Amino acid sequence: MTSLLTYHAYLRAAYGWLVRSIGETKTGSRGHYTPAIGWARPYPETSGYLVGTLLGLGQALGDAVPKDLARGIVAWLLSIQRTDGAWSAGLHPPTAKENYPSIFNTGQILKGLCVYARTINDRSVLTSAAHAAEWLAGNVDANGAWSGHHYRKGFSPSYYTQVAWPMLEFSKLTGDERVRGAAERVLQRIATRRREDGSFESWGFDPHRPAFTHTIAYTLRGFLEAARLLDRWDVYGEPTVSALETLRRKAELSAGKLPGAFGPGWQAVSWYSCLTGNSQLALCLLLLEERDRDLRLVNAAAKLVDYVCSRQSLRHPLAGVRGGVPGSAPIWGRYMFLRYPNWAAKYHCDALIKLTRRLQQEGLDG
Amino acid sequence: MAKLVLAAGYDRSPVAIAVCELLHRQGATPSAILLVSDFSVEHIRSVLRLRGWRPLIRYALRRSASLKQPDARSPLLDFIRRLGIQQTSIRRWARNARVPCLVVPHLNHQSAIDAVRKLENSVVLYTGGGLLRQPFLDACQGRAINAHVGSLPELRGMNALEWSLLLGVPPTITVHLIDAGIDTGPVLERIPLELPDGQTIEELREHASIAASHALVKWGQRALRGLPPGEVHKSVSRQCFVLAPALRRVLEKKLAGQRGSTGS
Repeated sequence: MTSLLTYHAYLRAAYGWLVRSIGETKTGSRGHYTPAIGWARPYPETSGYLVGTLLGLGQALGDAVPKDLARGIVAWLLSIQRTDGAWSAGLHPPTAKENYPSIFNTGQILKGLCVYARTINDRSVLTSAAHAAEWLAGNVDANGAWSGHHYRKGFSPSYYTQVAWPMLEFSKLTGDERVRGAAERVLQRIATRRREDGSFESWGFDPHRPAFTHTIAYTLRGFLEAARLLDRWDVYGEPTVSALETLRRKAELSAGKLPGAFGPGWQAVSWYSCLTGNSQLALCLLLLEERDRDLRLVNAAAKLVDYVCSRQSLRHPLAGVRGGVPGSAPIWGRYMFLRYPNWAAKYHCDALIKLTRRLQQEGLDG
Repeated sequence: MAKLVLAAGYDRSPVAIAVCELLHRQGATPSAILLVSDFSVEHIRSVLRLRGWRPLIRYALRRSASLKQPDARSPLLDFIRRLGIQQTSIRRWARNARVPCLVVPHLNHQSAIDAVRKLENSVVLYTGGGLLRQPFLDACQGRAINAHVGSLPELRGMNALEWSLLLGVPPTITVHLIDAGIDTGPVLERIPLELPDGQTIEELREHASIAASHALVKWGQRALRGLPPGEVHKSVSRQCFVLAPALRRVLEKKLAGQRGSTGS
């Protein structure tokens, strides 16, 4: 990719895919598309954090439609919020197995509501957000742990930094010190899991299997955002640098085709790439570069994004494939096997917007 | 007296040929040449891993391009022509100069290590051929010299000249001893690089290669009398890698702007 025009073509294609994922239903974005099967049910969690992406797309593309879509998603999310303030696990409507309040999903939806409230200056959603934040904070014990409501029963992963982040966003919007205190306890607990090689224990979905770059980047991003919101780079930002440098190097050595998962000791699973992890890691590197002005970080981010673009079809006849980003490359890789997740397109858009803005500052045109 | 060994990454390397010829003319002919085979499995695998298939095909075509095909805008070819060098193959050069040339799958292969060790008191002048591992470095007692086209320790790694230009760091040739790290060995000399305005990236790389060749020749001669320990880096900087296409485009634009302002 050597011009802004080229990057924008991929951005528009991913945006088009997201629009189709929402469709005419005026609910959330459908969780994923599987060729020969079709679209899944709407996914509240990822629809929640898609809100911020849609608002960003509206600005990047100079288009009012994304903001309308974001408004529709927010209205839908508010309509399905549980009475305890949380949102259920899984897709919507939840199956019997999914019908429990989910920490992670609630956190991601809270993220979307906070961005919406801040960007649109609509504080009416803050009531719903407050209910969610209270539920999250109320379930954090003195040691920073949630005792239940996990994706995997009994396992409290390190990527819960992604839940602490929106709690801090909420606290910043409202001044709620109790929510802030709970978020900090969560972060401090996860920070103790850092290993000497810069990785973090339990940063995958499963404590006994290699972690996808998706959850690795979740963990690191949560810390980076916490560092920004709390102005504590020394406590939450600096500890991520070693992992980011390791991943930057691996991204460069693989020319952007980053291994899809890593086990202990950075042992790579490299027969597939987790494409959403690529995009998320590019975002982390660009965030680090905002602080540590070094184009070498942008270089790695560009290669990660370029690789995702190379796996995105702009002209496929199937509407659910065209413009979408597969979970893995090759598509039969272990992450979201044979599927096009909506969050892959979301993070691809986020990364494209951030990368092109940065490259434009350096004079890239076209 | 030390014995010079030249390490070359491929048979048609103009830098390797130029360094050998210049040393020969100054009475410091290398005692041996180590040449990485173009067709070794390790070499092809590393190129595939780093560059993929399409770049590999372009890369192979570039490396097999004959120096007999004149290219008016190749500073390196002009340099070779001005020197009156006829050879386009290091193997042929070695045959004519009666210098043993050992073709190896890679420089860390046992045959390369044994060859260096056998020569006793050898100093390796590195013009390419991949990373050197500890067993090879032990064989030459740490006396392997590289002329890195970038300021060290700031710009370690690949495309260092391009990174110099992109980041506004004065272009520099850094002559250093090679250690097991990436461009982290003790620095022997930093030579400011004067580059002409109005050139493309490829042309500037060739100008830098010429300067690096002269630096290696100078230090090859110096090495015959013994080497200083060099200046050890106190810190290790972030490694540079090949420019992403978008950043390469940014640099091209910057250089084109300079060409426009010089009227060339």
